[in-house]
Amino acid sequence: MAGPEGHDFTYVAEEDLSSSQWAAVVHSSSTDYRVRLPAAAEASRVAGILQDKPVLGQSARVRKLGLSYAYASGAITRGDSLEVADASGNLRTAQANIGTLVGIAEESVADGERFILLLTLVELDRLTALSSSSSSSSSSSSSSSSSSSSSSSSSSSSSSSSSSSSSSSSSSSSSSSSSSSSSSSSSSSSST
Amino acid sequence: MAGPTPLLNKSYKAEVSLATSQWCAVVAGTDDDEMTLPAGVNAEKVLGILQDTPAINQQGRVAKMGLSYAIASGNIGRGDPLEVANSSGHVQVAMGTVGTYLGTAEESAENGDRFVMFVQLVEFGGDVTLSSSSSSSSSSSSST
Repeated sequence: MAGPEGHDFTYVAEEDLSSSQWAAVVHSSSTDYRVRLPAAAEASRVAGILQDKPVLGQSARVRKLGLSYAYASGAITRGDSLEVADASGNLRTAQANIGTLVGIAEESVADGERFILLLTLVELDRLTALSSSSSSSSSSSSSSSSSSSSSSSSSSSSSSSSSSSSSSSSSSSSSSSSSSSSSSSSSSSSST
Repeated sequence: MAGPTPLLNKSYKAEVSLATSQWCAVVAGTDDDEMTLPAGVNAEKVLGILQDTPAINQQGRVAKMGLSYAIASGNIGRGDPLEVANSSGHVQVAMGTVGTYLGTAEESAENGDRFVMFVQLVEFGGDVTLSSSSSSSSSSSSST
């Protein structure tokens, strides 16, 4: 049976994911291009939805764009914004604080059911403008005045990022910095 | 040179010389289908990441979706949300009021590094505020 279509990228499983097909997986905290299950609900740094069943150290096909299956935690209504629900990588309707906005439900499903979502990975960790129990998309949830598109001049915009809890520009476990192109290839595909 | 492969490129005409701006974020120019460098941090109307080195009035390819190199401003951790950092079109961890959300880092990088990012443009136009997500969660989100 042909599954939903999208674009997959290849990572390496940092743990045994052989029973985690269709689970949301997050970037490794220690190494580039490795994925693992999220630690808990509202996870940030979601890499995508696992499409296969890799064991530790095997390549893992992760969908980052397009449609994918996932498993529901609690009832989900088509059109709901989705976030990670638990450490198994199941998804639920997004609550007040989203880590990664994983996507939008294409189907209404009950708890534990497999369903199709449209992936729209956006890192909204600690988004402050999102009202509780969204279910609409990120952009709408934060609407207010000066919305995007508009017209006006070209290059645009503001200087220093105003508002909210700033804090400096994040460090983080920079390890193996860049330059190499490394793996993570893309391949369009559908899945089973 | 084989690098990360964008899933979608579009050509724009360089409104200024972008001969030294490969892998930098570019924003909409004065006219349709023209591009220029951003005015500064947290720019809006970002078109994507420039893939080549067009001189003024030449066409340049811009990655609008998928994987692309970018140039880091400050330290960046894999999975970090990204925004424009400066008028050179380098990128940094997104925080505070977001203009255009550029996507997320696929690799950790240090200031000035070229690194791979996943381009997924979302125009927030300053409507959304992110607290300093980044690094803190990099350890928490996945370590067990």
